[in-house]
Amino acid sequence: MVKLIIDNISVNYNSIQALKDINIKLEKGTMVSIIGPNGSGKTTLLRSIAKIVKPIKGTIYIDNKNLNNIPLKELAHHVSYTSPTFKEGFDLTVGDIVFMGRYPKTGFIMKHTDEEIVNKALNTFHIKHLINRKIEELSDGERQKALLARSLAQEAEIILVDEPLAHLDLKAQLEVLKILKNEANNGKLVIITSHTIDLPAKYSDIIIVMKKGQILAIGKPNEILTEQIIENTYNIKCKIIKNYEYPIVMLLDTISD
Amino acid sequence: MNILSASNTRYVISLAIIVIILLAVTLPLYIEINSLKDEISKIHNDISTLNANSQQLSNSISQFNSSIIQLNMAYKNLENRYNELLKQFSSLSESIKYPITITDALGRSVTIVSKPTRVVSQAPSITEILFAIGAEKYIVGVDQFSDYPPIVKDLVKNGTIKITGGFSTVNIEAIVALKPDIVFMTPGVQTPFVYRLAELGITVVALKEDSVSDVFDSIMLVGRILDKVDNALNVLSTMKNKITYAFTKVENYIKLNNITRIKVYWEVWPEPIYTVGSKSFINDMITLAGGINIFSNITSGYPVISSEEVINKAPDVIISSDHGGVYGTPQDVLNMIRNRTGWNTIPAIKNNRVYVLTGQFGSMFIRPGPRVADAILQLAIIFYPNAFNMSISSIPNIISAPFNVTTYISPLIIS
Amino acid sequence: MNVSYIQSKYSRLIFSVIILFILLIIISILSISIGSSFINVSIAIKALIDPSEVNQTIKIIIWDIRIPRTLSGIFVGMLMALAGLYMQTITLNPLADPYLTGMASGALLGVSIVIVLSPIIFGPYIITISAFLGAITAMIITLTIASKFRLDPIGLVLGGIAVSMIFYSFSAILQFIGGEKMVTIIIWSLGSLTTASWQRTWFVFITTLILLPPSLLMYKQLNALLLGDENAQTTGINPKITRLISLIVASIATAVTVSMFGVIGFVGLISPHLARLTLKSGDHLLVLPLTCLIGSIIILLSDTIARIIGSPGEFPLTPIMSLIGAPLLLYLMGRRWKHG
Repeated sequence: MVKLIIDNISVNYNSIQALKDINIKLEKGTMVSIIGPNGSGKTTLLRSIAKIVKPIKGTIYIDNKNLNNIPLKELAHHVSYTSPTFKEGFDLTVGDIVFMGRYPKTGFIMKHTDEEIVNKALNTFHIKHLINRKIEELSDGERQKALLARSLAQEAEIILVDEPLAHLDLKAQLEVLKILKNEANNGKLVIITSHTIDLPAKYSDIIIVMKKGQILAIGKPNEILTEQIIENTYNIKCKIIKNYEYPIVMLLDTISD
Repeated sequence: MNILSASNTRYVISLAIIVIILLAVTLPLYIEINSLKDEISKIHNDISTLNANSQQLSNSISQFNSSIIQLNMAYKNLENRYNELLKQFSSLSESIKYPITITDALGRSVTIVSKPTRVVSQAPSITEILFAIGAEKYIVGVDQFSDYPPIVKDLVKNGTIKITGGFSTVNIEAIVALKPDIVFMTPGVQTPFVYRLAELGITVVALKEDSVSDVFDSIMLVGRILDKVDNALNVLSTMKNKITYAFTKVENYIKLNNITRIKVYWEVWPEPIYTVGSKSFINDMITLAGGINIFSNITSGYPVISSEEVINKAPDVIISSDHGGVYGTPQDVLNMIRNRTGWNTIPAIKNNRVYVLTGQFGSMFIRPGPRVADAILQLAIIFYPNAFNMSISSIPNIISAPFNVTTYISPLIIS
Repeated sequence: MNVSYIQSKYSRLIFSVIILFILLIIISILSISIGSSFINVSIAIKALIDPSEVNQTIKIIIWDIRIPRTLSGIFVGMLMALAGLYMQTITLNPLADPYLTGMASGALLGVSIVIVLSPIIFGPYIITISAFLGAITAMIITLTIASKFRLDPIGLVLGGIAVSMIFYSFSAILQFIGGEKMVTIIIWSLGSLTTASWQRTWFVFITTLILLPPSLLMYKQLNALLLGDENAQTTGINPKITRLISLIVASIATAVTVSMFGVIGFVGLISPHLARLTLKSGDHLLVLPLTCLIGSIIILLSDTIARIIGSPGEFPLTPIMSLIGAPLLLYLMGRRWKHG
């Protein structure tokens, strides 16, 4: 069954047309990366699926159910969304935050089973030892992992992450993408956005290239990543090495407007 | 052809002669008329100036008239009130029959069940009233500022009387612990405490204090509640005599010598400048002493005003308290007033008629109690020393003791 | 690794609550014993247990004055601490306090209007009612302004600042016009438990009873708010509704307190911080009950000190609390800075 259908949606955000006539069909067990320059609508697209913004036109279907008809509480069982924006920690610990992932599924008191799931998520990201540390004392990378662990603890079928690689060092970037790819392999639909191209190209099953609110290309990395597409999207010159497991993108130079 | 032919020349000459004659006639006329116009407009100006002056004059006169009316009214009101109270209570040959129900200054209906023998006073003026009507042996508690008569302090020291808090910080517990039959308080800051004590089942009466008539009423009310009606009437009668004496002495003096009334500025506090308005008993005292409170047009108790306004109103006499030492010695207060910017143009400062009332003497002027009559007499002396056979220069700038006037028999009013 | 995170969390909660509860009882007994007539603690306890045993006057003082005052202090502390915690959470601002939406200035304006413009005070309730109406009006105006910003935290803060300034200016003008009445208004504004009768105690008790337990049920939503609206929504809660409900709860708590006892500041600001510091966690499930207990303790302590220092009268509450609390606040902020 097609997990997620985005049927011809347009979204206005702050009186700008952020998304225009978007059509996507995605199945479960897929790792999807949305790439494109700033303002291309990547984050808006993710927010639409998470029901944070509402399209002015078109519909989104999850498991063939109209997103408009799914209340937030029920949606939490299906979709988890992680945004990197984070202000005050207010003395929240890593444990507090990851447990929040269990909120849609638990009652008033957390149970032992909840704790097991949380521990598993923490271990996946290798941050179990940080469980009692306050979130604001952590480094950016550790904090990001804590938020992602929360996402995992939620056990939602669709995992959305906005800019998971931001603020992460190289090793952490690889770790995170490996974990997300693993989740996809276990049947989840994982959709991330990224400023970068190289790692998404390596790990994704599907790549969506966006520019100015529209999809320029969608498909397998090997098929759709061409030098021409990159040039059109980013206004940069690059070279793509094709005959490897995944396309290797080498950035060359900027193109003057 | 020659223009200057004979006939033409004659024509021109005759024309010129006519023009010259015309000019000779009309020019002086014209000048005359212009000067006349100037005269007329000058007269116009004079007339409008005269008009303005006479308007000002009639304004001053009506103001003056209304002050006189006010003055006379203030005295008349007091006299009427006194006579009313006299009529109501002097016929009471027997003691008060309890229970009695009265209405207090907050509009509350209060029932006094039986004769109170344990009384708390929460204001210095009320303590003075209790002593004046001979109810001092009933006092079990006073506020920390009660200090007149001086024996109060001794009674507190030896424990006969307990302190029940300050003026704005009433100690509810201390009052309750004294098990009083009645508590006398003032409206205003103490109002929430009135209600709190009433909630706890204690009889509380708030006393009016916004005018000298109010003081008379309050003294009578306390006398009635404590079954000291005769004493209260005596106190009021003495007070009235003193006030009448002061008032008539001053009125006679003013009429005989054609004096303009003294304009008075009373400074309650210097920063910001608080003065007294028409809703303060101090305003009444000034009026009854023959003065005009320059801010009696403000209908509130103790308004805040600006330094400028005092300069504009040009008072003849300035009175201030010593502010409890907060602004230094009375001499410091005197200097502060004299040195205010722009105040050197005020008549009171120019003529050295600035007075600071200090010490226990000063307290008589700020307590709406039995000593207001003495205060009025003292003020009359300060305003019009000549009326009491004293010179202006004999009145010191810092006054800490009363002036002695031994006779209070009122002279007849000169009409 | 063997210690269950949940268990350690709950045991920390129970432990802290028990300790603070005992502390509260001790301070309450102290508060009941202290007054202008210092009543021996043992007599005070006897009066509590068997009132018929003690002297009638002592019974009245203890039962009609001190006990309602102490109880009021406890509930006022809980309500203000709760309101402070809520305002900090919903505006994501650790320096927020219950008066963020201008309720202090609103109440002040209501009281100023009544005291200055009326010839005599109309009865015992007029000040309470006008303060309540003033506070609620200010809150509603701030809410209206904030709704233009889609109820974002910044909208509440900005609206609150604007409303506070405007209402305060009007009351300042009124106070000046009022002349000597300014004193009455200022004294009211500094907060005091003097007017704590059984009737008022009952009121704040009921308010606490109504507002506190449901607040505990909302702990998940409040925690989620701390991560920002987007992250919050994905856990299935509606951040705007949570903010609105919290705002209403906090506002009712503040309005009831300020109308009856004046502007009691500081406790709402500092109690949440002290609670989080003690618990080493920001989880509202723990922080909420502890904040309330800490609030009660702070109020009772300050009130007792105010009565001791101000003898024979008594000092107003807020200045005493600020004097005690300001160094404490500096210390707390200093610790945060060292970590950040």
